[in-house]
Amino acid sequence: MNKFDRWIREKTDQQKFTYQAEHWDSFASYMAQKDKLNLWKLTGLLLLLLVSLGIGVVILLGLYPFSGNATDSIAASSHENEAIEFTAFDLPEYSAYAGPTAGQNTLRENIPLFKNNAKQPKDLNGNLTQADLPYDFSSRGTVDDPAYRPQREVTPPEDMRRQSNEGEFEIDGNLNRDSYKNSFGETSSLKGESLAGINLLKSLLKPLSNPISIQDFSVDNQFSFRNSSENKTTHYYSLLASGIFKPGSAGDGHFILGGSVGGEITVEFNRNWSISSELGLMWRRGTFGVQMDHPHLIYDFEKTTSGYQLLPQSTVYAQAHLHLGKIYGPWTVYGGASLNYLLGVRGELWSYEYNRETNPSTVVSEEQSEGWIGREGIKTTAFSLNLGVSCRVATRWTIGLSSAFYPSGLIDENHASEYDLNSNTYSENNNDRWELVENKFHLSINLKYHLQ
Amino acid sequence: MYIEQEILDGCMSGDKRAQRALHKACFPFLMKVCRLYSRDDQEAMSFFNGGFYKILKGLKRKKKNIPYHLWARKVMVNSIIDDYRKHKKYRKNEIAVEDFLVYENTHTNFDSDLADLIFEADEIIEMIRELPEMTAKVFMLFALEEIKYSEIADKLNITESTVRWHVSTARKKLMDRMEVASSKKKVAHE
Repeated sequence: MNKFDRWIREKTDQQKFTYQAEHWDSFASYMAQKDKLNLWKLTGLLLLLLVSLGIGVVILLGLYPFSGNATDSIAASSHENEAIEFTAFDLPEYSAYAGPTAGQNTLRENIPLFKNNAKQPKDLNGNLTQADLPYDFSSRGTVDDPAYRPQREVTPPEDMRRQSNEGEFEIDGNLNRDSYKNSFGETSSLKGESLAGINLLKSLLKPLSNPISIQDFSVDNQFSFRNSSENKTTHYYSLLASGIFKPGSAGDGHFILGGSVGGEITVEFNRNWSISSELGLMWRRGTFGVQMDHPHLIYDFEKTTSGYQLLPQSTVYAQAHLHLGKIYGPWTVYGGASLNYLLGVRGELWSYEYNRETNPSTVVSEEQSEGWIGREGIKTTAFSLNLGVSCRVATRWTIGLSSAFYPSGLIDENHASEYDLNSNTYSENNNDRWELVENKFHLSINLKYHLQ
Repeated sequence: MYIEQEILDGCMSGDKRAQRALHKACFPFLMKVCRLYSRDDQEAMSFFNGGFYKILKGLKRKKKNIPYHLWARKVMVNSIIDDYRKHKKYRKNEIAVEDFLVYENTHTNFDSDLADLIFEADEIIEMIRELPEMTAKVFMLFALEEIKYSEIADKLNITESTVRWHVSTARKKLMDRMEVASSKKKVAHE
């Protein structure tokens, strides 16, 4: 700051004002309007969160019966008015069913609970059936398996055909043959009860129950993406953690690191399409980077500026997203939209700067500054468009790369130009740069753990 | 400037009378700030209303050891800058052709005592208002608020070299205009 700047400051400080009552009236009406607007914004945000939550719950509950965990509920309900006939299957046909998997046999052999399980498949005479015999798993789940081919033509109801798993042997948690379905949707449902509610309850209480349970096997089967013959709708809940990288957010060479945690509900349709909805919190920590300005010429002075800044600041977002994805085996390519509400920023930055001014032969001045600078909090709402890809790397784990673009608007930052005395030229728009608003673009690597 | 704690407490609890008292007490010194950053008095009033609203809402977060008038001024300036950042994409770029002219006069012989006699505060404010908007904002932040180049760059999302350019341009333009204005006054006086 030089003498001229100080004079301007002192001079402008000499302004005089007379306070009038209308000034307060103007402010009072502004305040009333602003309060009303804030109330609407808050209400809107709460409504959005509630609607997102509501949609998630509706999708969850509505599609649960179609998931692998609860396929019996439909089968059972479609036959609920039919008389249960235990004699419907004669011995040759009944004994053709494959029975439990190797895992179940192992459990049955090693765990006393299963050895004495009254629900083990037995024929009508009480003898163990072929289901208990060693089984060739190479042909399991295919219609080519002679053991699965039905002895008579059966036309299953529509809803059962839709959920056919091509002969997959499903376990419904009770380890009985009632849940078996073949590729034609044929089912030997001998029970008239719905298991959907029971399974849901089991899912919720799962952390409290025996970790070695049949339910675990059922869940594992459900998420086996390697089985391309699966043809069904599944849903799952996930815990989501992301690492966020925002390049160029605070000038050249700067970037922001952050993270987010949240919950996500995903529905996959026939291993082909998916819809996911997330609700969570995002937190980012500061901007880090080094800013080095080029030495440049202004008038008759050459100024060299260099420095670096460490800008630790915290930002907390509430965010909700809705994504539509296309599934290719373990890969999902998705796009969608997110809504972020920035709750607050408060922090400080530390900067170091070195400035040097010279004329062609003499150093005119050198300045070095460093220190902490307080920052004020701000609030904003941002809408972003997302594009990403994720890969199911294990039964319960998914890793993804996601990008977010905030189309809040391009800003033409400034039209400054510089004059170069040495070459006697000026360059117009030399400092032009098109910039997006603060939240312009970010990349995130996310890791999902599927609870179910 | 001293504001009684009772008034501040009343404002925090939503007492309209206390809010009005604070409004009256703050108006002169905050309006000075608003006028400097605005293009006209109507915009200055709009800046004042927006900033004072934030002051009222932010009183609870004010640390006790920070003097009220310093804190209020900072909130007001930040509010104006926020408003500017929010709306600047809608504003026309106002750099005039003369911005690209070569400044050969370096104005090294500025006489503040003489300038003090010649110019009134309102005249200087009008000259500042005639500067390109970004240039005026940068210069105000630097000269009046004594904010460092790096922080101005951060606030306005521009590079530090651009900040320096704006400050330098503002000084030269103001001096040019003061020279022209003083010449006119001199002629009128003679």
